[in-house]
Amino acid sequence: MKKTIIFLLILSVFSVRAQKKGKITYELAITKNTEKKKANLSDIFKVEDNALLLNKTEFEVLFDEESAYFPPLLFEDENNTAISHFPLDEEYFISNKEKKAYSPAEYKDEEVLGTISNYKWKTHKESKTIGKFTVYKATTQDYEREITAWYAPELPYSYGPIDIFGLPGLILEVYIKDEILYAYRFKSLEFNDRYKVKPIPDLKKLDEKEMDEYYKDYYRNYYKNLKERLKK
Amino acid sequence: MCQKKIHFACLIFLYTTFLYGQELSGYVTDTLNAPLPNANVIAFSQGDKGSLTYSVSDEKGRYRLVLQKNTIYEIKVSYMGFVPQVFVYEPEKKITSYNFALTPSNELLEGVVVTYQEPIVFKKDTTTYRVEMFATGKERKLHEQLEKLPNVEVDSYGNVSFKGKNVSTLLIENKTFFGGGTQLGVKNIPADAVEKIQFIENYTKVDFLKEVTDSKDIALNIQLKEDKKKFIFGDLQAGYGNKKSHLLHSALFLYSPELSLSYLGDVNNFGKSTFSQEEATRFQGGVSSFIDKSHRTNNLSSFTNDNREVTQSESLLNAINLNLKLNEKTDVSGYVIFHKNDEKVFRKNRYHYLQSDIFEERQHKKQSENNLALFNFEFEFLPKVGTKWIYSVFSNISNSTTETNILSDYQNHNQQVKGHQMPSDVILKQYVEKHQSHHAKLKTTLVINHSLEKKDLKNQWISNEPIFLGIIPLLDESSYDISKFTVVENHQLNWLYKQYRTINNRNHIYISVGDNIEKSNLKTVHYQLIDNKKIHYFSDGKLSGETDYLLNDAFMNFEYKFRIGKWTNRIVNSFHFYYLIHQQFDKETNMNRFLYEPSFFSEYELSTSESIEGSYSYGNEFPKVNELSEFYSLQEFNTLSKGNRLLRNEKHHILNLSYIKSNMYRNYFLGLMFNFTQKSNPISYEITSENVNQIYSVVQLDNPERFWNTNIWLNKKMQNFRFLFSSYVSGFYYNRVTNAERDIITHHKQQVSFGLKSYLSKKYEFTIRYSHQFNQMKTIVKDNFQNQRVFVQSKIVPIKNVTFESIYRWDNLIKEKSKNYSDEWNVSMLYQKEGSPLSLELKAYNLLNAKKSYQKTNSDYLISEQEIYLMYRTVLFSVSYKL
Repeated sequence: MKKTIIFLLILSVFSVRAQKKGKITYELAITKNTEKKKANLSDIFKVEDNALLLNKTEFEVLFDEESAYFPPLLFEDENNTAISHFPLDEEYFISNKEKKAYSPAEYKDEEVLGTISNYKWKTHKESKTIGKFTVYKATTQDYEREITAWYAPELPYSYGPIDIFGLPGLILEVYIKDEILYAYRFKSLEFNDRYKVKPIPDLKKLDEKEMDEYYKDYYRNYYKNLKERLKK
Repeated sequence: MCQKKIHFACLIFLYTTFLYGQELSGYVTDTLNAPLPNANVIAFSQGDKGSLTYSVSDEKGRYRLVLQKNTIYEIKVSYMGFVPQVFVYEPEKKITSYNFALTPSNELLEGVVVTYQEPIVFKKDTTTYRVEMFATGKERKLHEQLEKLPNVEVDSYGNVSFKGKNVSTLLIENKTFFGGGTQLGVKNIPADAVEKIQFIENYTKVDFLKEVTDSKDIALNIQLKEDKKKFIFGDLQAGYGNKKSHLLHSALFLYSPELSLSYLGDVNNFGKSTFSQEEATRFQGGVSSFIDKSHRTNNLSSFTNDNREVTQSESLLNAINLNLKLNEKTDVSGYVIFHKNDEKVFRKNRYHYLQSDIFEERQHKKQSENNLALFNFEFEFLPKVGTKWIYSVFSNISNSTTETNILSDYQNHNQQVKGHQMPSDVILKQYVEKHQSHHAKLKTTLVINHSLEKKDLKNQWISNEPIFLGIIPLLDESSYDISKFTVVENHQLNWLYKQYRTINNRNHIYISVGDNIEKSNLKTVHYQLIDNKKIHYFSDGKLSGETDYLLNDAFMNFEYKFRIGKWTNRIVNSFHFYYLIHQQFDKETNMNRFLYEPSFFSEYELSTSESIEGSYSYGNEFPKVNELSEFYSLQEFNTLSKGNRLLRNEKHHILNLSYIKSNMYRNYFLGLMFNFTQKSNPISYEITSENVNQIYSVVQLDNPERFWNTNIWLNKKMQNFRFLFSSYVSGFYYNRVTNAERDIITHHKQQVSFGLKSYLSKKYEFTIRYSHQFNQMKTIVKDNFQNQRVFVQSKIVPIKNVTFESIYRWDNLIKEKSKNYSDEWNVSMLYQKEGSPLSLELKAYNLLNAKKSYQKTNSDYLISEQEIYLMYRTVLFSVSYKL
């Protein structure tokens, strides 16, 4: 009897959660990095100045039990060189089960999904409240990026803003230290069954190693083309 | 005659359908079967080398090609981010459909490594045409190339429209050309320098304001051929012909990234127009586009009459355009124009005064000398990303001298009036704009605008009969010499501060505050000259005096823009506090009004190429100084006008609806437009007429004035033909008080035009247009008339190196009992050896030596018919040299 009740309880919890579709809204917050750095390409394109124009940009992540979807933003001002830095103009999918993120890309004349494996998170005991949620601190290093995330274990989804994910609870706030200091701040969280969460497309998935090659190739091409352009 | 033409057109049509029989259609998709719209499908003919046909896929990915019979084609499909595909079409296989499924390409950077050039490239708001794919290579100026592009129209004045909407800004290499007006550019830019033509929709000067300004402007950007940059290019032309007619023309251009300079010069004495009325209004610079109050003046009209309707003309134009990069952060652009023109006009008019039922025959001779100098400089300063300053200064100085000689004949009266006019005008306008993007949710604009205008007008009439005997206390003389002297000074100061707040992607709020002040002073003096020397001022106080005027409009606007899916709405709540004060006869009149002026705009985008738009606005217009001034002003020997100090604001409602659709697959473009305007208490005038004399007194009516019009236009391409259809219908209903009697007046107008354009081959092209206009007016009498116009243009290359061009225009005015037609035929023969910079041209203007053209206008009190005497036949031989 007890077992049946527990089973039913679990089932009901699952069925309720299975129907639950959520939308979390974040806001981009950018601060000028006052530390002196070496001059690099970003300076030529005034990435930081352009980034400041994007301050307070709002974006949404839609999710359900299976996956989360970040729809890319459309920008009218094509001359802003910082958009791709955040990267607000790219599409992202996060799988709850696999704890992996995917972004569509082209690879060897084929449309594929690039994979981002979970970050090596280090969890901390520090906590604070955001809205009505208690959030806990987690940190990680991703290449140049020093990431600090605040996640809410009471929201059992391994999602977060854009390409940040993989903690035992929904990430409500992220601080990133890069060439630019920026944060994805929590604005609102709503649940509604009518939200349309675009499922992860059924395409060939490239693993990290292949993605690394892809990026190397990408930048090799990029700089080559850039040089040619600058020559003109 | 017309019937024959139609037969001829049909014949050509059948002939070409016979030649171009084979159709190939299908879909362009990606590997997942999703349609790829706007993909270029180009068929390269393997027989006739170099000849090609193209199609652009529509929303559903459909394409359709019409191919020549018995010809092998190589069909290439290209799409950004996908690997191009080739399909070889062999006629014997009798394939009628083929689908392309493109695979995504590894090419990561846009626009790099393209094996062949696409005819049309669509990218967001920008459409780029690769000119060589559409042009024959025989074009001499930019407008001839533009006419051959799909969705593009050029009228005879050089105004360009794209998908039916007027192009407002012309850029060369992304830099403004003569303030952005298209006319000077399209008539002067040499065709062989043009590589690509771009149309930019939703164009705005300030990139970061694009998503908040909702600009409907379209810019035309010319990209020059690589080898034309850094070198001087252009044309020099010199010609001489009969009756000492001569022409010197030069258009020189220098373009480099830091500096661009253009010079246009023209001297001619046979009425070849250098620029027209519309173009002149383009040069009314110095007013920020954010200040929407009209600052328009009309002083330029006399410089720009379309000039073959004169009997003699001499004009001189010198114009320089400059763009300069001062440093990384500052750009300067500007232009200087000097224009001088002398002309003689001869017209015979017949007037029917409806109230008194009197007919007047009038001969009108006019000789005028006009001078104009204007400049505009604009500085753009970008201190950092997201901040832009613009300072613009504009000045215009003009004067002219006009001698008129009028012989008026009515009811056995012969009145002879010699007139002398000397208007002079000085304008200085400037503005500063500061635009700033603070962050993604807040952007601001600050504008300060100042303008100053001083107009002097001296008018003199010498008449053998007294003028306005009862009103003007003339001293008895053998001839009456009356003068009017008017001085108008006008200052305007406007400022505006606007905040654009973005709540989220779908909701925007814009708040603005500002103030417009207009201060004017109008002085009028009438006097009589006795014995050619003694000035006699009229004792009647109503004939001389001064009016001071001040209008202040302090306002605040709340604008809310929201988007629901494909539906965009904008609600504007505008609150105005108007204060008007004017003083005349030492009496002061003032008025305060607090007014709410709402407006609403809505747009539904059915697809990227189909949209419905609607807008409504309510507003108030306050009277101008000349409408308030109660002093008499003599306008013409038989016309006197007078203002009214009791005028209030005019209220108006404006409603606009439009539907636009373009379809690349079926190759057509369709537009429908409806417009309705109502003025609830219009400022109008009351006419007191006696014989041929009329006095206009400004009054405010309680009965509304209504105006509506509808416009339809269709542009369809079938094989090598372009079919054009347009129709215009309008109605105008208003009240007029004439000799204390109130009449209701209705005006109706209907116009329909058809056109057929064809580029049959590189050797032959033609355009035929026919338009028919019907006019009906109903007041105490009914008056109807019709206008017909036939326009035929053709260009033939009969033998190598020779181009023959003919432009024929036939106009017919159909009145109750009579028909009056006039025609004009211009023919030219050009010889240019391939690759040679030198060309020779023999051109005849008005080959048939037509003497006059006819015009008719009707209004509630007057029907006027004009015979306009034209410039004599001019045959000119000219030599051009291409740099």
